[in-house]
Amino acid sequence: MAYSDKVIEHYERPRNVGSFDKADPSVGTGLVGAPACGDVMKLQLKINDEGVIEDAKFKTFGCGSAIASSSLVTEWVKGKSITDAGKIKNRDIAEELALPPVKIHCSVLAEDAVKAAIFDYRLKKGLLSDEDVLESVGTVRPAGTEELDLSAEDLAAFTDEAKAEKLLEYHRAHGRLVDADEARLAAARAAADAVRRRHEQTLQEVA
Amino acid sequence: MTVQTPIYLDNHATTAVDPRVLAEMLPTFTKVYGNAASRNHSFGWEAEALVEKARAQVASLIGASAKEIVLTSGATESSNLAIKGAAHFLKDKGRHIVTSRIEHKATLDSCRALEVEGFEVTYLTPDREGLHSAEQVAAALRPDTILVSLMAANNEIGTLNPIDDIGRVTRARGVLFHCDAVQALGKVPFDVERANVDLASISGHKIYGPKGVGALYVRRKPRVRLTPIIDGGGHERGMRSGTLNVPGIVGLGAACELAQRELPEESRRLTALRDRLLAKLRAAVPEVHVNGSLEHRLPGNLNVSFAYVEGEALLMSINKQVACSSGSACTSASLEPSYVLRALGVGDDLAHSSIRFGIGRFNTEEEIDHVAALMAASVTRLRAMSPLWEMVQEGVDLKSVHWTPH
Repeated sequence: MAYSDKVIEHYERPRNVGSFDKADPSVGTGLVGAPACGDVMKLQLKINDEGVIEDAKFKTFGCGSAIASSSLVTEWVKGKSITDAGKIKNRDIAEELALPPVKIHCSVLAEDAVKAAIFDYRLKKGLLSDEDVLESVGTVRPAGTEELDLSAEDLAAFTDEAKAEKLLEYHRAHGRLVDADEARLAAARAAADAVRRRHEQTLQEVA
Repeated sequence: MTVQTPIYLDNHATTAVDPRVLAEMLPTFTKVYGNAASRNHSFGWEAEALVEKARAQVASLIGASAKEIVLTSGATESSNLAIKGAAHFLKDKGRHIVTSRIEHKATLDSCRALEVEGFEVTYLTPDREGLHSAEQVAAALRPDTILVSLMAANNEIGTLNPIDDIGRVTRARGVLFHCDAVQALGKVPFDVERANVDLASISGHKIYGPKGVGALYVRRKPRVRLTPIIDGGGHERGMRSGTLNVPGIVGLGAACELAQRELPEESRRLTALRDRLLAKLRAAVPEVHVNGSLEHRLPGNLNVSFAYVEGEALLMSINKQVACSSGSACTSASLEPSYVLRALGVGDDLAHSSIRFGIGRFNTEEEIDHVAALMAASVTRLRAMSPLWEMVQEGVDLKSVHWTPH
């Protein structure tokens, strides 16, 4: 496959390779992708109190296009507000780097990395609405249940439990009232436990 | 001493035509250009004589007789003819075929085509070393099995199947044995009698001959019969019609003769180069994983995964100076990593990090040293920008991380 000059240029001289301290409250970290899929991006943004991105760093495991996509977005986000940076679209990245169709997923990953880093920063700072926190939890399938034929209701019970946990943790981290959250978690946990008990029997029977 | 770049280390994909082979071929373009099937003039006779000489050269390399060599356009055609031809001829006797998940696509897709027609195919899974045992083959045979198709050497990982043992099983059970000998030919001893092979696919361009020519060995005693897949003038005893590619065939023959003469010495030389490359890589960077058995392996093959860096990125950093290939998904259109490495149980992450080096006749020690140094520098550079490498250095177990597959 032939690469565009811009991909080669970013690949050979990647901008802003490196890491910030993950624990720094002014740093948002996004880690997206999976080793099994052949690409993982870690993007970190250093954000000031005005919500402006002062610096950015990345590390990427992936092909030349993935490395170039992440290098490019670190350049683009610097000096932008997190609101504007969150509007960066994968097709702009793909266009700038002239990515072929089979490499579009690299630009999607770069867009996701920016969003994930901003989300992490806002989570740390307590800037997220409860809805944002809840939405960030995808469908949960507990480890060890891969073999089970779980219904949509079962999965929803596990997901609700994870959402309640996440919200409680968020509120705790930012010193907010947690009584209602604890009640919510207790109810969700009871529902999830019921599903677990039901399937425990099935699992034992299979064994 | 400076080495000339780019360095070609992709000799499993194809090889350069040996100048000695080319010298044999050249007269066939402008002087001996007759049609080998023309029976009534000297142009035809001379061409036919060259073809028969080449047929004998091919036969000699594999311990066959010249009458058992069917000349084709290449090994893909040979494997199609062997598998489909045997299956179609024997369809009333049985409809079950045994092959492996790590065969070449020419074999796998021929089997798939037969499945559509109602044949049943068992795809054996290799062990973690990339090997099949005779016992595994024996266990897969059924009363209605008509054909076993297994390669002598794998094109990605270079592993060598115990074909002598497998051939004993198939012969004892009265099942045909087709062997894709493309990568093994001329690199390790391959003898159709010792291995009881009934059908063997051969290619010209993997043994320093030209592209577009190959052969199928078809046993005469006991006689193996095939239904042809190309019909026409009845060339090649009716098994493969079409005017003979005299230049290609002459090249194939010359390449076989050279391979036979130089095999013992060349095999030692390539093994030494391969071992040197691996030793240098391992001395320079940690976490270099060899894919497939190192013991049962082609002399010139090295397939390694450099953990935590992606194969295509690695190739991109060296491709101005070195030509080799990767099992990474990104080098294919499918976005799936190598099906061969997956069948071995190599994790998808390591499959994405794999590089195949194919060392050949024209590579030198200086080139190997240059490539090793270049690869090591690239791996180090890419690991410095790999989040996975960073996490591992921090003591993170990558399996414990909740990844977001996409």
